[in-house]
Amino acid sequence: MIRASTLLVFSLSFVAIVLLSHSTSVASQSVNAQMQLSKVIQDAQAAELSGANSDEMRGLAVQLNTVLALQDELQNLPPQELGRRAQLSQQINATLTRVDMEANELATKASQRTSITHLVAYSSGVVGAVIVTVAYYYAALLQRRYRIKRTFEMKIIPKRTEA
Amino acid sequence: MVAYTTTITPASEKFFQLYLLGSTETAGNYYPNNSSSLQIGENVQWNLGLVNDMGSLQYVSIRVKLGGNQTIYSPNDTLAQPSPAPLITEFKHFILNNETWIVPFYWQIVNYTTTTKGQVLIHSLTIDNVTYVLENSPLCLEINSCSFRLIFELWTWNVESNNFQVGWANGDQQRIAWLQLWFNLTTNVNQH
Repeated sequence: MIRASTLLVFSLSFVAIVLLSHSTSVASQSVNAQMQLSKVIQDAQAAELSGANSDEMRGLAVQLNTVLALQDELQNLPPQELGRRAQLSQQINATLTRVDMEANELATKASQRTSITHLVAYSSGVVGAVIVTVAYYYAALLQRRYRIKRTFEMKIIPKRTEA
Repeated sequence: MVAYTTTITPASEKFFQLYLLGSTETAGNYYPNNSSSLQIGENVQWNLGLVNDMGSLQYVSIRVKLGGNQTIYSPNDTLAQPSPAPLITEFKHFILNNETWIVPFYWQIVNYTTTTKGQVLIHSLTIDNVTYVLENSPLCLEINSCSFRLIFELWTWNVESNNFQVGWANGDQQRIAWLQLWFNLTTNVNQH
């Protein structure tokens, strides 16, 4: 025969364990969400550093601000609306994952674009330098020829002395 | 040389600009009838502005706090510490580099309470049509000398600590941006 007090202690322990595990789960979900957010921000900033332009970045910022609106809605929901809460959480996760993917794609695209821009800038620098050198060489050559030509065209005129 | 200078980005200082404008979006007309003595239910219209000059996308929060006369300190610029005043609400936003974010800030005092010792505290405020019931609201000694202030602090998301930090890191230093506007609470004939 189980005593009533034993049953009570057992029931209370069970409730405590359930509550504790629930609160731990909520806290770890929150930490995970914060870490996910940090990763997305870091990836978006990396895309910007790689050379993503303001229009591309605006696209990411708009989606991230949508996440904030969803988080606000989630916070203001009553606890009993479990279905809507789950739906919103899923939407937030999906948006963050999509933004992260887009940021990584942008970073790759932007870094390729930046590499091409650098290549074009350095190549045009080299080509420009060669053109200037060649032009200077021919200009100097022409000037020398002109001076030689002028030298050979010179006439020697005896100097008149005044009486 | 020319090619090199065209491809490098010059290093520049990273900072935010936080400002508050009145109802006409100028640095004036902050209070109705140009009087900072407010009555219950009087509408005040401000416009908060933030400019991001950090060189990258930032996740920011502008925290709104209610300060009292002397008992609650303002944020500390030297130590880069926030004010201990009670938080009313916060506005969060992802702001692009070189972007200006304007937040319309419409507010009014909904009501105040008087303690048994005759001290006055603001019980609730409405900001942008949302009513906030204040806990730990600062006290003032009597209704005729009630000076309060709304403090606005800029917080930014720190990706290393996965949390908001007051101000932002500029190299080794922590910088903060904040502002406050004072107002007095006065009684009117219809009140209480």
